[in-house]
Amino acid sequence: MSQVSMQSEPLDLKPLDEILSEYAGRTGTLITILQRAQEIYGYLPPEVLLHIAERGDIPLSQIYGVVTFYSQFYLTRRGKHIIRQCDGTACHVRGAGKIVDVVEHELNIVDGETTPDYKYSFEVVYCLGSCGLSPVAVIDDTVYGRLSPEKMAQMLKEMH
Amino acid sequence: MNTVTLTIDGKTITVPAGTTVLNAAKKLGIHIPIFCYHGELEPIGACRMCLVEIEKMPKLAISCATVASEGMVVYTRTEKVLKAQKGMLEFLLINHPLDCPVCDKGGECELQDNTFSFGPAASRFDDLKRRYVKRDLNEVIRLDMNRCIMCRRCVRTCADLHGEGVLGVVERGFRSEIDMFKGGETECTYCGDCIEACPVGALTSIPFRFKARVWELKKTDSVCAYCADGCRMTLETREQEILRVRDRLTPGEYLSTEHLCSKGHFGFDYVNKPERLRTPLLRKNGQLVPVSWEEAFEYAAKELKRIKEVQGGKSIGILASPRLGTEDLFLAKKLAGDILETPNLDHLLTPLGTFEDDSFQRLAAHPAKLEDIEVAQAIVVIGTDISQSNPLARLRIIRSSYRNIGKVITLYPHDMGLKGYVSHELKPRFGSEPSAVGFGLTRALTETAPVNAEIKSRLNNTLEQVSQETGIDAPFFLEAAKTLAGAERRVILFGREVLSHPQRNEYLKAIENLVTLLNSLENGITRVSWLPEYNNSRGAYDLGIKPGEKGLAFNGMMEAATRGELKALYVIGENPMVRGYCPEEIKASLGKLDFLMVQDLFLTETAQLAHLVLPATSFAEKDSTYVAGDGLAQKLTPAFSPKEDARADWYILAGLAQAMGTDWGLISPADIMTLAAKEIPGFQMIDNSKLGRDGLYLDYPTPEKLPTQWQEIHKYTPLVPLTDNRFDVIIENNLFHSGSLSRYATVLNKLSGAAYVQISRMDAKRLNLSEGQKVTLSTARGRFSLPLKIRKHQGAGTLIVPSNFTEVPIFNLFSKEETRHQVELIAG
Ligand code: SF4
Ligand code: SF4
Ligand code: SF4
Ligand code: FES
Ligand code: FES
Repeated sequence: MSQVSMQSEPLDLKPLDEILSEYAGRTGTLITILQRAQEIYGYLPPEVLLHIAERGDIPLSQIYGVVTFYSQFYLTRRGKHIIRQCDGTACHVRGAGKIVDVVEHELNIVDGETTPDYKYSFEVVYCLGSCGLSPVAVIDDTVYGRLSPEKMAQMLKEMH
Repeated sequence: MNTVTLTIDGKTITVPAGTTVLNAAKKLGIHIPIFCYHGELEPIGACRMCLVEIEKMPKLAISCATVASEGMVVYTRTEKVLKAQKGMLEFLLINHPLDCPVCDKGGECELQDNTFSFGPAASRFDDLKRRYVKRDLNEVIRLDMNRCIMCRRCVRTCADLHGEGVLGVVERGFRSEIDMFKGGETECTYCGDCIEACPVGALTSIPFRFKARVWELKKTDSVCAYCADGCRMTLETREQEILRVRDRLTPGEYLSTEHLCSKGHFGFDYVNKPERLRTPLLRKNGQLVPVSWEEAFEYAAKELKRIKEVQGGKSIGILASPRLGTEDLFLAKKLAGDILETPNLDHLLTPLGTFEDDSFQRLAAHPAKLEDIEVAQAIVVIGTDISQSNPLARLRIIRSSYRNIGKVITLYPHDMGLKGYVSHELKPRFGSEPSAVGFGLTRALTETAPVNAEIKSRLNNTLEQVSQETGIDAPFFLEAAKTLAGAERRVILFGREVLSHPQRNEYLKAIENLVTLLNSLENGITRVSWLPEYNNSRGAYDLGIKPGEKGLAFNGMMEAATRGELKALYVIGENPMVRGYCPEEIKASLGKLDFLMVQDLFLTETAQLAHLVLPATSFAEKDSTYVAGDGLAQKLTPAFSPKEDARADWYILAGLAQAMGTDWGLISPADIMTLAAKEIPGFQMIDNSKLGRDGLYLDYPTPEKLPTQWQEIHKYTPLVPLTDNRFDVIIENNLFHSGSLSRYATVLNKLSGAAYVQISRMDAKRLNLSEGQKVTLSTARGRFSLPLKIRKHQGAGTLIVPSNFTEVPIFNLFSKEETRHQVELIAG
C-alpha cells in the first residue's frame, strides 16, 4: 500500500478548491488541474492529490499513475535551483557522466534528490535536444553548453 | 445481424460484425496466445503476444484488438508470427525469474504455458534482472513485482469490472510498477478478482499461497452460501479441506466471466474449522455428551411425541434458517405440517417486515433476473447499500454502465458505493423515503410522461412539498423520471432497508405505486426484484417457510415459551441468541422449554443451551439446491464427504421423521425435489438431478409485468427528524459479515476488523467527534460503546451499526416491538 503521509503544517487548500470548481464536471482536465496545482504549491503534496481525488471522484490510483508517468510532476518539495544535467547519448560520449559526478559530489545528493536546505534539486535527463552543444545542462531554465566538470564546479560555487 | 466472413489458417468462418480476429479464431478452435486480453474489458494491446499475419497488412497485427472484416485472410502460425511470439516471450523473460518450481502460480501460469508452447528454449540476454522485494498489498493480496508482465489485467479488473480503481500503474517504461492506493473514495473490497485476473505469479492470494500445488487440488463446482446473489464458484479441495475458492472455472479457460466478492473468495475457512460438530450431543446430567445417531433420533422422537401427545402439536415450533438448502427447508415444512402437526414455523429471526404485506407479495411475485440488470436502460436501486448487501448485483450494474447501456437511479439516504456509475442520485432524508418514492418520483412521472390519466388525477401533491420533506430538489425528481420514462427496459431493485424501515408498509405501497405508474406507460417493460438477504431466502419465501394458520412467528414462539405454551423448539441452522432481538429475553424463553433441539455446524450460543445438538454439514459437503434472489435454482455438489458423523440437514430431517414413525421413502435430494415439485407451485421444473451446470429459474405463476395496483397513501407523513444527540440506528449487514457463519471465517474476520459505528461527516462535525473516537449508544434498555467511523456520504441523523459482530450487542438496545430504532449518542 502506498502510504500517503500527511505533512505537519496544514496546507491551504482554498486556491486548489477554486481550480477544482473551475473545472468541475468537465472530463479530461486532470493534467491541467495537476499543472495548475503544482504552480501553486511548487510540487504535488499528498493532501493535494487526495483532495483532487475526493472532490473529482477520481481514483487516487489514476492520479498517481498520471503524476508518476509525466516527468513534469513532482511529488516532493523541490529546491530553489533546479539543475538538469543531460546524460543522453551525445552528452554521455562527451563526458557528461563526470559532470554528474561533480554535481553529486558537490551537493551531496544524487539524481532526483533535493538538498536538505531546499536550495538545489538535481536531475539527470536524457537528451535536451541540443546535442550540438553537448555536454549540456539546464539550470533554472538557462541552457549551458560545452560544459566540463570544472565549469560545472565553478558554476555551483558561484550560485552559493 | 451484420456478419462478416473471413479465413483463418485456411478455415472459413462467418461471425457477427465487430468480432475480433482473436475471438473468430477461438470459434474455429484455433488457439492464439494472449496476455493482456480480458474478454470482459476493452482490449488495450499492451502485450503483443497475440500477433497474427493478415494478408494486405504491412505488419503483423494484434488479433485481440483487430476487428474481423469481410474477406480477411489471417494466418496464426506463419514463420513470421512464430518468430514474433518467440521474441515477445524472450523480452518478457528478460526480467522474469526463471524459477517456476518455487512460484505459487506454477501449473496455472499463462507465461509458463505460453513459453512452453511458443517460447524460445534459451535467452540471449544474461544481464541482471530487475529486482523488487515482495510485499503485501493488504491482508489477502501479495505482490511480487519481479513476476509482473505489465498486462494491466489487474488494474482494469479493479477499475472497470468492479468499479473500485484501487490498483494503478505508477512510473513509466521499464520502471512501471503496480501499486495499491487508499484514499479519496476508494478502498479495496478484497474481492480477490485482481488475483484471478493476473496471468502470472505477480499477484497471489495470501491465505492460499504455498498451501498446495494447483494440480493436486480437486475441483468441484458449487454455489456461494452467503448472500442471495447466488454466485457460482469452484471449490479447490484436498481431502476434507477447502484450500481455495475461485470464480467458477470453465475447463481450458484461464479467466472466468463469473465473479465473486470477498465472502465468496475468502469466506470459506469455517468449513475447515476443527471446532465443527462431529457427533450428536445429548445433555446428560447437565452436560452435553457425544451420542450415536440412533440414540439421538430415539431421544428426539420420544420427546417430540410425548410433548405432542400431552400438549398438542401447537406446543412445538421450528425455526429453519434461510441458509439451508431447498430440500432441507421443504422437509422442515413437511415435518411441521405432516408429523408434528404444528403451524409454528418460521425462517426469520428479526421481524424484517412482514412478508404478509400485500404490496410486498405483489412486488416479490416474479423477480427480475440478475441478467436483466445488464440489459436494462434504467436501473433503480431503492433502500439498500448494494455494495455491502449484493456485491455481484452491483457488479452487473457497473457492467451495464461500463458498456453505456443503463442509467442508474439510486434512492437511499446514504451513499451506495456506486461512485461514478450513478446518473441520478436521490438522497432523501432518513424517514422520508416513502415520500420520495410515492410522491416525488411518481409525481415527477406524471409531469414528464403520458401515464394513466385516472391515476394521475389521484396524485395531487406538489413536487415542492416533497422537496421540503425529503430534501431533494424538484429538478432531480424530474430528471430521474425522464430517464425512467424514456427507458425501454427498466429494473427496480429494492432491498433490506425497505423491509426494516419504520414505515415499511407505506414504503412498499410507494414502490408499488411507482411500478403501477410505469406499467401504465405505453412503452417499456418494468421488472421488479426484491433483493433478499441470504443464499436461500428466496427459496424459503417461495416454499412458504412461514407460520401456518394461527401459527406463530419466531417472536411469538418466544412469548409462548415464556407463557409456558410452547414446550419444544427445533432450531435448524440459526442462532437466535446472537441474532435475535433482546438475547437476554430469548435466553429466558428458551430456558422454559422442555425440549430444545439445535442443528448446526458449530456449538453456537443457542446450541449451548440445547438438550440435543445435531451436527449438520456445510455447503461444501452437501448435495442440495439454493434459490438465488432472482429465482435461479442452482445445485451444490459435495466436494468431500461429511466430517465424521455430521449429516446433511435433509438427511437428519428424514431420519427424524422415520424415528417418529413416518418413512418418507426419500433417499436423495432428487427424491425430495420431485416431491416438492408436486406440492409447491413454481417448483415443477426444478429437479435437483436436472439442474445442470447453469441451474434453472423457478416458474413463477405471476407474469413478469406484475399486476400491481394503485395504493392510496394519503395520510402519510414522514418521520420527524431527531435532533441534538439522538439518532436513528440502521442495522446493516457488513460486506464481510452477513450471518452467523461468517463469524467463524478467520480471513473475513481479519478483513472486517473491529466493530464500529458509522456517522455522517456532517453530524460528526456538529458534535465535534473525530474518527476512531469511542462513543456510547444508549437507550432505556441498555448501552454499549464502539469506535466511531466517519463517512462522507451518510444521511444526517443516522448511525449505521453492523449486525453480526459478537461484540456488538445491538439487539439488546431495542425491544422487538419497536420499529424505529432511536438511540442517544454520548461521546466517550
Ligand atoms: S481485491 Fe478487488 S477491490 Fe481489491 S484491488 Fe483487487 S480487484 Fe481491486
Ligand atoms: S500484476 Fe499481474 S495482472 Fe497486474 S499487470 Fe502485473 S502481470 Fe498483469
Ligand atoms: S456476492 Fe453474494 S453470492 Fe456472490 S460471492 Fe459474494 S456473498 Fe457470495
Ligand atoms: S544527448 Fe544531451 S542534449 Fe542530446
Ligand atoms: S493479448 Fe493482444 S496485445 Fe495483449
